[in-house]
Amino acid sequence: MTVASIRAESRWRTWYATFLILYRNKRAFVGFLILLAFLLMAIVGPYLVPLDMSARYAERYLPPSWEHPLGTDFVGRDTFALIVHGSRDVLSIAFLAALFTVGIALAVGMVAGLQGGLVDAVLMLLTNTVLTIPKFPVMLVFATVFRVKDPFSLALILSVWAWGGLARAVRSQILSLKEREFIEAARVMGLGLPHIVVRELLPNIMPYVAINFLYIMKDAITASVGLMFLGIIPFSATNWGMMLNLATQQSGAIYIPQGLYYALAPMVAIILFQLGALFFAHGLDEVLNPRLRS
Amino acid sequence: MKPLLRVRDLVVEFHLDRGTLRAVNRVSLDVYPGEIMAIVGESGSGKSTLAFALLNLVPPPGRIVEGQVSFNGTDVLALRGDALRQYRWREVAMVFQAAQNVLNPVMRVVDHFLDTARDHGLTNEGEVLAWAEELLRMVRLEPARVFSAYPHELSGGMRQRVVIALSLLLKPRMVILDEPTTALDVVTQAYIMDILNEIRREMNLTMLLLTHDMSVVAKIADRVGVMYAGQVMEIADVDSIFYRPRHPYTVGLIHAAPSLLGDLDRKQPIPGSPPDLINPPPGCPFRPRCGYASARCEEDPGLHVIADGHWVACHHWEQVTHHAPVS
Amino acid sequence: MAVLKRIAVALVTLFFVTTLTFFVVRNTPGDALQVWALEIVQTYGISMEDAMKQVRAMYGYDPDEPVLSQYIRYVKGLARGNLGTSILYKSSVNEIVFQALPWTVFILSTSLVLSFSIGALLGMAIAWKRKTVLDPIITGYAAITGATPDYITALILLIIFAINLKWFPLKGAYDPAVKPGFTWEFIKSVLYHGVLPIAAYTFENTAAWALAMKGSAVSVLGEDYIMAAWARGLKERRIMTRYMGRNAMLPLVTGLAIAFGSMMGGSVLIETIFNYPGIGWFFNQAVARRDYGLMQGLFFLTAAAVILANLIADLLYTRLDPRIRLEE
Ligand SMILES: Nc1ncnc2c1ncn2[C@@H]1O[C@H](COP(=O)(O)OP(=O)(O)OP(=O)(O)O)[C@@H](O)[C@H]1O
Ligand code: SF4
Ligand SMILES: [Mg+2]
Repeated sequence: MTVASIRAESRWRTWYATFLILYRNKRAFVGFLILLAFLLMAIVGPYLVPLDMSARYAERYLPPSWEHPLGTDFVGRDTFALIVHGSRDVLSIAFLAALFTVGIALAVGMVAGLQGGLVDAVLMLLTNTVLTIPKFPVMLVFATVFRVKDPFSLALILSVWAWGGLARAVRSQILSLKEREFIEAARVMGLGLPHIVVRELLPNIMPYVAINFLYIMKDAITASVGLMFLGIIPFSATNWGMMLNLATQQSGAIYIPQGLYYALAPMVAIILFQLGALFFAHGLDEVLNPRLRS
Repeated sequence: MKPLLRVRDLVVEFHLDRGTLRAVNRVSLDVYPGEIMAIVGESGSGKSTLAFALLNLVPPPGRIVEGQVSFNGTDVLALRGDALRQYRWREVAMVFQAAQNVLNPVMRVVDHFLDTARDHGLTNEGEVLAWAEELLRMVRLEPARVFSAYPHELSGGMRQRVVIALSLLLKPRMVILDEPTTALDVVTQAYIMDILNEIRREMNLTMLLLTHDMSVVAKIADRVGVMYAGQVMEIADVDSIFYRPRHPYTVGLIHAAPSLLGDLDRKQPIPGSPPDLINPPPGCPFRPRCGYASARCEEDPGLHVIADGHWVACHHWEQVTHHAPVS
Repeated sequence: MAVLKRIAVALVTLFFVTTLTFFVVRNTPGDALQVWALEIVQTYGISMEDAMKQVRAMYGYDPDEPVLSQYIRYVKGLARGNLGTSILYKSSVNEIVFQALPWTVFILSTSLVLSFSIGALLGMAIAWKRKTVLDPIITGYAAITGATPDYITALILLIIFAINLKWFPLKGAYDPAVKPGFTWEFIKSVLYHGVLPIAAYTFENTAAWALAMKGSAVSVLGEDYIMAAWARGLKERRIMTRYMGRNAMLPLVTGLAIAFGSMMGGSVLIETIFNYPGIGWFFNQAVARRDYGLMQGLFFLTAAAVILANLIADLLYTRLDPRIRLEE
């Protein structure tokens, strides 16, 4: 058997074991189902649930019914359709933000860990700054100054101050991996830095990064909805944060009893998604950190 | 003479995921007032667990399953609440295994003395401090320096002496010393043993000394109990144990301790290793390592008396000689 | 020495942040100043050019000044405690901070103390008693608050208790009909207006403290000095507080500063939701009306407060844990 095939085999085994443990871990499984539901909603939902953005004042603030499972909003639009179409927006922004965040964190953490010395010291000071200063005000300043108009730039702003924790963790993992034999062996074999990083280091920290991807996505949703709620980045009318903003500030839906379904819908959607992400990530954590399993 | 401590058929089990582990298995022994009784046994033989059971303080997942412990006529295992609290330290104090961090890292040494006194109703702080100072001087520490120190500021040997002084605070009748010197260097070990000997003379204390070190036993003990795999193998006065051992394991222990025979070359460790305490096979636990073993040994030998004050748990005790069995 | 090093790191961090915000926000006040100048033109009937000059002078902004010298002026101002000028309120940021900061400090410190002490007690209780019904309840509670952003908690509280039940006010830090002063009436009004914001933060953070404390306490309970304390016949209460509690609390101290930071960061949303006139509320005003001077000043203040909180927590930790003190 070749080294590669042994590796492939053991990787497959790991995935299988992971799946088994997740299947047995009730909370993780529930989390997985919730995330799957949201993923489906975001990907195929908009094709199945048509969204009519025209105003029909006669039908405003209708209670839930067959026709409008979550009632209607302050101008008679179907709340459920808004949530479904919003989910794509919210999730894609969070996904992009997590991608950027993980990218920055990996770069900073790996460079600091591999390079050491002054580079490491400076990067860690920067990381420390990012971890100390709360990120929401930073994002607010950036979002205000740069006048965000599209998901891409919003995702950038969401990631600019969110990578500290992961970067620090990646660095310490790299430091401990560096001591391990197989890295030493690869170095002795003259395999070069890119090879070591791509073939040896990355696969080892990937499971850890995957868990953090979920946590970061969860935080990105909290932050992006918060920004939208304040009305600073008004580029999408169906975003859950925008719905919250409209419900609380512009339409005053929260002040009338009939408006509650509309106001609560985005809140419940956010909480459900976050719960799913939390449960699933926690399950993964238990799989990868046997110490937590008891 | 009436024993101060009387233990009968004591069983302590740990309920673990892998199964039930019997750390103390039908142990019976007596400790008489004023004596130093030593319990010897290899690591894992159940000494510490026995000690905790004597204080009715077995940590979960451990449990005292059956047996009796009576101290000066009191049924210790029936004690609850304040009565149990008062029994601990006031009647029987314990010096924990030396490697452990027994002192609260965020508290100064003096507060350990004060806390202990206070919870046992000694409210006169001046008196308590004066007595504590005397105790510290007895273990050859400088009270002024030690009192205000935090535990981590003391060396291992100093910490162990603080713990010994602390154990004497309430003038208990008996002190259990669990490997009081194991983690310390040889010089400190000897020093502490000297101190203990002195204290015992001065205070007329009863001591139960748990150790794996035969040389410590030879130096200080009046009587000896030999423990193996949670069971008592032999009990006798110290002379009988060293000159007329009647259990193969005792003989093995003597030969495994080099300094006793004064001849390093002759040091012979006991071959093999202790049994798994989860689901042990029936019969004598020493069987796989014993040179005298026969088919009879698949039956539990049980502890029986063979001479005045000499107890042995072996089918073939009559054949056992002082010489190391060649196996 | 160690203390000096920590102070140095804090200062470097502050410097990092200041520099970053200066260069991010630098070029932006142009149009806002124009609006302000236009107002002056309309009110006083002077020419646009004069109005612009006047405004720039007030704001301390000269478009022809080189960036570096602007930056140095800005840093010098900060060093003298000058946080800048608000275009929106036509006043110095310091004045606004002077008004708003006490409210934010009141809300945050009360919430922090409440959530930390309730959470720590709950966590200790769970660890101490091992299997109680409290354990799954707290775990569930932690999952819910972990999944609910603090501003949604705030919104739900607002909807239930202010809008529908009308138990608590919708806005303000005290009833404007009450004269501020050290009177029982005023204090009552302040407390009454503070209930919902404090409740929002406290509800949101308590479970996390409880879980952190539980984890810490469980590991402390495995230590030898706990067994030794039992063996000495100490009273249960003493073992729980002085032996388990004191030690289990230590690792949580640094968490206090982190919690303070995230609460301070969240105050923009929370204070906006409750219309509570603290730093966060003004921050939101600055952002919504694009008052860059105010935004920059308040951001600096937030950063400085959080850095200070971290420094204090660090120093407190070294005071509380005698083992650290020696290593200095
Ligand atoms: N808390 C515990 N949980 C599970 N098993 C335990 C626990 N404490 C002791 N044991 C087991 O009980 C047996 C006896 O242990 P004990 O510590 O009493 O032995 P000992 O003679 O004091 O050994 P040592 O010289 O190493 O201190 C061992 O097999 C040990 O693994
Ligand atoms: S009973 Fe048998 S096996 Fe056990 S010690 Fe005696 S001779 Fe050896
Ligand atoms: Mg032991």
